[in-house]
Amino acid sequence: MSASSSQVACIGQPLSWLVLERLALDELEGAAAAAAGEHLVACAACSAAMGTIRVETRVLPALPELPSLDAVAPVVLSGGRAKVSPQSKDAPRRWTRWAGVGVALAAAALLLLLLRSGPTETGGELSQRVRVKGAGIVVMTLVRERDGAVTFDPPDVRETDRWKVQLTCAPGGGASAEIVVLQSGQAAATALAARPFACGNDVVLPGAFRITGGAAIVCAKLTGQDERTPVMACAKLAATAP
Amino acid sequence: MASARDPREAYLRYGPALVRKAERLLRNPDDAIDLVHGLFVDLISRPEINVELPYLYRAVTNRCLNLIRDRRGRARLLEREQPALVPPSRLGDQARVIGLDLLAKLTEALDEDQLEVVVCRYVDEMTQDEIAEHLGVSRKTVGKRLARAHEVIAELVAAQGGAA
Ligand SMILES: [Zn+2]
Repeated sequence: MSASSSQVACIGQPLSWLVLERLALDELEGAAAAAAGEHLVACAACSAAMGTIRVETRVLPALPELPSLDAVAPVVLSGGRAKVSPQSKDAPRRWTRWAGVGVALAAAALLLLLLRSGPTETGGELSQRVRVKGAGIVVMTLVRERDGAVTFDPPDVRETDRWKVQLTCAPGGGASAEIVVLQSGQAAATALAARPFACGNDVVLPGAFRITGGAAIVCAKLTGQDERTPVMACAKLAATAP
Repeated sequence: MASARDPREAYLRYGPALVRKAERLLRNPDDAIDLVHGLFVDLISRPEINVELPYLYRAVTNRCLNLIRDRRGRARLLEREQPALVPPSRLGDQARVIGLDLLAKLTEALDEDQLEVVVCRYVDEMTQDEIAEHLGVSRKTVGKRLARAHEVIAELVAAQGGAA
């Protein structure tokens, strides 16, 4: 035990952080609250710990408005042209604001770009490793959170999963990244809006998203410096039963 | 005495306490906030789940341990670790510094039940009686799990040449 820790040691058994938090929230029952209060009066260490709880203010990000996975407005592509599917009229839209033909055409163009342009290093196959002007080789990693377990580049998707994206490229470079989700019979939907990022190891893009509707291709649409055409780093996810 | 009735209310009410707890384990504020946010994004789609603070405390412990157990999640946490964020232990002579590095090693040597007891004791600073009540096990079980953890910690510390 160091000298500094002896100065903050409790006079007996410390009030646990859980007890302190519940006391601060006025959630302790009578006898327990009274005992904790007495201890705080006598113990400088626990009193100081309680003080840190009381003075601290945290700003937490808002929760999504809807818990369901209807964020990706279904826009059906048919015969190379896009139209809004009937069910999308009623579907709440959380992350995306796809509407109208312009957006549908943009989605169709994106799919075409993906399917036709051979955007990856391996020449047309989906790849999570691409070359981007100004960033060099960029590797996309999908991060899935399922029931509290975090998995990197998992093979499958479930509607309750929470997703994040990491990008790795040599420090010093940078580009702009937008994360889109492509699904059979639907248009691409933006999961994370385009924004610039600086290269580094496992750079986590701000924000998290969910994927509805089963199997999907998740792509990072990477636009290099002074470039107009994005390069796509993509990963396929199979559907799993809920 | 009030308590939260649903996940959204619980997020507002308990979110800060849970972030503080996650921060003591993960040792950086961004990952702590992200972890708690992720927990509640899950909870709002499962309104049947208990949203009392003790339950949520356990849920945060388990999520943190999952993140630390994962090799890549751990590497990222170690890069971003800010030990100064962690308040000094109030356990006096019984204190054991359970930093990220040691915790990561413990995730490989202890089972989940033993790990949870370690977190309750040295990170949340609960008494053994409180741990027993919190986890719904006997005091004797808590003692056994802690004893096993102490053995492993001693081995790990010895292997590091006494520096824990
Ligand atoms: Zn005390």
